Amino acid sequence: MAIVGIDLGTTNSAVAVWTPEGPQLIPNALGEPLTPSVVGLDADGTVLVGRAARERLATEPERTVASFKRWMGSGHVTRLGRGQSFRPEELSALVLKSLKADAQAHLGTEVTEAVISVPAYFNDIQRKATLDAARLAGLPVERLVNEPTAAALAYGVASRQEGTVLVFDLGGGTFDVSLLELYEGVMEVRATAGDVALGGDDFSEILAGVIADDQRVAPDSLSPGDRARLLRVAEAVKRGLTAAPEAAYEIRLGEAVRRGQLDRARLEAAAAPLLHRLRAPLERALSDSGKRLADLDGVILVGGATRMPVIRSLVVRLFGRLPLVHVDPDTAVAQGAAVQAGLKARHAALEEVVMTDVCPFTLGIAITENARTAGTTQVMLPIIERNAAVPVSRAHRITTVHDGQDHIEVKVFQGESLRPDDNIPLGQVPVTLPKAPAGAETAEVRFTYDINGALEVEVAVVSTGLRRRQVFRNGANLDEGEIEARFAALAAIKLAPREQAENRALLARADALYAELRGDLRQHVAGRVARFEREIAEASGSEPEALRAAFASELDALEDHRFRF
Amino acid sequence: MSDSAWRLLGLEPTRDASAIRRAYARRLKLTRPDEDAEGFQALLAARERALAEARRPLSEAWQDSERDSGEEGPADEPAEASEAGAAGPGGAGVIVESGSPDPGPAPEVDPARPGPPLVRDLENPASAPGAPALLVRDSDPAPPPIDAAPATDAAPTPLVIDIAPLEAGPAQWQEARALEADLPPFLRDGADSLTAWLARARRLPAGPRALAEAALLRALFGLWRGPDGRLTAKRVEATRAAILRAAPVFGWPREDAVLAARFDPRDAAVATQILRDVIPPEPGDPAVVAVPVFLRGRLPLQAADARAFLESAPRALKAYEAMRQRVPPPRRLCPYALLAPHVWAVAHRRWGVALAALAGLWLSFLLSNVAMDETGGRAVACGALALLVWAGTAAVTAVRADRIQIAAAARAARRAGRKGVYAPAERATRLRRAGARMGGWGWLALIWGGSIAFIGPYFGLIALIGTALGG
Repeated sequence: MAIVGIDLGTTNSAVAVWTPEGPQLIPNALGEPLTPSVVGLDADGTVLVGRAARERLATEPERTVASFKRWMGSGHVTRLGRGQSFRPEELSALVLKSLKADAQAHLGTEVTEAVISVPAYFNDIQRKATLDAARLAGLPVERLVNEPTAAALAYGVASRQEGTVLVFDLGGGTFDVSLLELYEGVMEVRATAGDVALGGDDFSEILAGVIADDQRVAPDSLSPGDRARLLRVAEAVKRGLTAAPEAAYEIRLGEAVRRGQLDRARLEAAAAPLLHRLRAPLERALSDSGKRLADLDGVILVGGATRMPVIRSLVVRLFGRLPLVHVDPDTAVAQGAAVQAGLKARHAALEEVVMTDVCPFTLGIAITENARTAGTTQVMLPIIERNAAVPVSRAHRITTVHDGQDHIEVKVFQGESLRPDDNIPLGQVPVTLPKAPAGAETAEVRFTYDINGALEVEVAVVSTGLRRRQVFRNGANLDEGEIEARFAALAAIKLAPREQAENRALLARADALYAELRGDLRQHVAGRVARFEREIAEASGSEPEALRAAFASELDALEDHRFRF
Repeated sequence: MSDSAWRLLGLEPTRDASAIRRAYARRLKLTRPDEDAEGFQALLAARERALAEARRPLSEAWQDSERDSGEEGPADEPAEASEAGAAGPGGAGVIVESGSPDPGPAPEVDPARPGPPLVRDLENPASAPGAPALLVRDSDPAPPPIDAAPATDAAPTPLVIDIAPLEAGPAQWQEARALEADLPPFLRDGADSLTAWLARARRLPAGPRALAEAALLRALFGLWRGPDGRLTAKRVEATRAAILRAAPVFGWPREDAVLAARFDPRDAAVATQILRDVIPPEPGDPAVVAVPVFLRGRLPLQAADARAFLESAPRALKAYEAMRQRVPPPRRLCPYALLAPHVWAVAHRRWGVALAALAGLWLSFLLSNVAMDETGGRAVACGALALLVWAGTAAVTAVRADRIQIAAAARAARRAGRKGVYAPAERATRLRRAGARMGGWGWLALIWGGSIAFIGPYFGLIALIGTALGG
C-alpha cells in the first residue's frame, strides 16, 4: 500500500515516496537514485532498462533506444532488432515497470498508485499517452503533475519559505518555466510557459555538430554506430565543460581515431540560438503572471541541463541573482511528485499544504465572422485562456452562419496563434442542428480542463437540448482494445531480472569499452569479461559484491586511460 | 461590488490585499481544487474580485458606491458575468463548417446586439490596471549616469542595481562625489568616522545616495579583500560592522545584513580566493559595480555560487581569460645572448646553457689552434669550422634565451596575478623586454665576451689569410 511519485524524464527517471520526514528517493537495483530512460533488447530478447541499456547505446544502436519521451503522443514506432517494434508509450511503460519493481523491492509493499510528472507544456494528447504508458505498466495513475510545479512543491515543502519564486526547468528534452507564489501553505502557480522541444539533448546535438565540423566529417554520412559514439562523446564533452573550462576528446569514427579539444566559449557561441530560445518563455511567464523581476524572491534551477555553466550564467545575467540551491536539480521533480502523492493520500504532515496549478496554453475553437469568408478565413476563439487556474470550466456561445445550416463541426485547437492552422489541432465535435435561418440557432461550447490537464469538450444545442460530450483521443493515442492487447504483449516480454541488473550494467560497460579500444587493451577487456562471467557464476554469499567492485575499478582505470575528460 | 465575494472569503470588505490573500489561503484548504472544482473556481473568482476592488483608486470606489445606490454600476458587470459568461448575450463569432453550405448573402452580425463578453477580461480581471512592463534584463547593468540631468520621472527601473538618478540638484551630486572622496579608512579611524559619513549620505536624495552607496561598497569590498588579498579576522570584523551600520541607511535588506553579520570566514575564504584571482581591483569597472548584487545577495557563498556569480560579470571574466591566456609574442633573437652566450647564461644562472656555450667556445678554440698549426686546405677547413661552431653556439643560445625570457615573464605575470595585481598579457611582454635589455652587465659582457670570442675566429682568419698569401 503505497503511492509513489515518478519523474519520467527524457534522459533519466526517478521514483520517490512520501514519508513523514519528507520525500524520500528510492534507489534502483544499482543503488542509484536516477535510472536512465533507455530501453534496449538483449541478444536473447530480454529487455534491458536503465544503465545497462544506456551503456549499450554505442555498441548496439539498432537494439537500444533513448530520449523516446520526445515522441510521446506521436505515432512514432521504434524498431528494436529484428521484428520487435515499440511505441513510445510502451517504451515508457517498460521504464515505469522497472521503477515500480524498484519501489516495491525498496518499500517491501505493493505499489498501489503513482503520481507521474509531465512537462508543463505537454498537450492533451501527450498527457494521455503518459497515462496510457502507466496503464501498460500496470500502474494505476490518477494524477499527473507538471514538472516545474513538482519542483516548486519539493522546494516549498523543504524550505517552508514564503514569496514569489521562478522555477527554471531545463531537462533532457523539454524546457518549462513556472512562476509561483508561496504563502500560508498555498503554492499557487501564477504562470507557466515552455518549449517542448528544447533541452539538454539539443546542447549535446549542437556539440556533436561542432565536433563533426572540427573533424571535417558530415554527420549524415556516419554509420549509426559512429553517430551514437559521436553523440556519446558530445555528451561527455558537455559534462566535461561543466566541470572545467576546456575538455579534450578522442573519438573513433570508422577506423580512424581523432582527437580534439573544445572550450566553453565554443559551446556558448554554438549554443547561442538555443540560449536565445530560452528567453521567450521566461518573458511570457513574467508578463502573464503580472509580476516584475524585482518581485521575484528566488530562482530555482531544475533539470540536469541547468548544471551547465552556460545556463547558470544566463540565469544570473537575466535575473541578477544567484539561483537557490535548496533542491537537487536532478531529483527535485521526483521529490515533488512524491509530495503530490503524499497530498493525494492526505498525509497528516501535508494537511496545511494546497497547490493550485494553471493550464499553460490557450484552448479554443475555430470560428468565422461571416458566411462569405467561411471557407477560407477562420480565426481562433479562445475559450480557456492560457494560465487560467485549473480545474476550470468555461463556456461560450456560437451561432450558425448559413441559412439552413444543419450541423456544426466544432474544431478544437491548442495554441496562441490567431490562425487555427498555426495551432495544434486536438480534435473535433460534430453536432446536428435543426435547419433555421443563419444566426437563429445557437450552441454552447463548454471546455472543462481538469487538474490532470485532460480536456473535455461539451457542445449543447440550445433549442433542442442535444448534448455531445467528448474527451479527445486522436489517432496517436491507443484505444481501449489496443491497450489491453499491448498490456498482454508487454507482460509477456522478459525484463532482465533485478538481481542481475548490476552485472548487466557492468558487462554492458565492458562491451562499450571493448568497442572503443583496439589491440592488446581490447584483448585484455575480452579476457577480463570472460573471467568475470566465470567467477560470478561460481560466486556465492557476499563474493559477487567484491567481484563487481574489482571489475568496476578495473573498468574505471581503463576508461580513464581512454578518455581524458 | 457584490457582497457574495466577501462572504465567500469570510471577510469584511477591506482594501488590505494581504488580508484577502490570507483569507483565500484559509478557505482554499477547505475547498481543495482536486476535490471541489466548482467551489475552487468560485473562491478564486471571489479573490480576484476582492483584489481588484482593493486595487482600485479610492476616488473611483467612492464614485461607484454612490452610483451603486441608484443602479448597478457597469463596472461590476464583467465580474458578475464571470461564472455566467456563457449565459451572456449570444452574438459570438460564428462557426463555419457546414455540410449544407447555402451560398447567398449572409446577414451581417447585427451591430445593435451586444458582442460576446470578452473572455480575456473575465478571466483576468486584475490584469487591466498598470499592465506590467517586460522586465527581463538583457545586458550588463549600466553604470550610473553620474553627469546625467536629473530625471523628473521616477519610474521604477527593472534593474536589480537601482542606481537611477532621481530628483537631485547638481549640489547633491557634488556632495556625493565629495563623499566618495571622503570615504573614511574604517580600519584606522574606527566606527565614528563611518557614522559621520553615513549621516551625510543619509541626507542625500536617492540618485546621489546610490553613488555614495556604490563608493562605500567598493570600499567595503577593498576592505574585505585588503591590499594583499589575504583575509584576516580583523578585516572580516571591520567589514561586518560596517555592513551592519550602513544597512539601514541604504535600505539593504535586513536579513542580508544579518547574514553578513553571521558571515562565516570559511565561505568568505572561498569567495575571496575566487574574487582575488578574477576581479581586477580597478574602480569603475563593471565587475565592481556588480558588487552590490553580491553584497545584497547572499554573502555566505557556496563556492559554486561564487563561480556562477562571476560568470555574470563578463568584463571580469574577460580580464581573467586575458590573464590566463599567455599568447607568446613573436620570437626574436636576444642580442645580448647572441654576442656573448656564455656570459648571458652565467648572468641568468642557466648553468646548462652556460656549460653548452662554454663547450662550443672551447671547441671553436681548439679548432682554431689546429688551424694555426696546419697549412693549406686543412688550415682553411679548420678555420671555417671554428667560425661555424662559434656562430652556431651563439645563435642556438640566443634563440633559447628568448624562450626562457618568455617563460620567466609569464611566470612572473602569474605570480603577480595571484598576488592580486592585475597582470594581463601585455605585462608579461613588458617583463620579457626588460629581461632582454642590454644594461650594465650586457655591455661588460659584450666587451669581455667579444674579446674572447674573437680569439678563435681571429686565429682561424689569420690561418685563412696566411694560406691565401703563402699559396
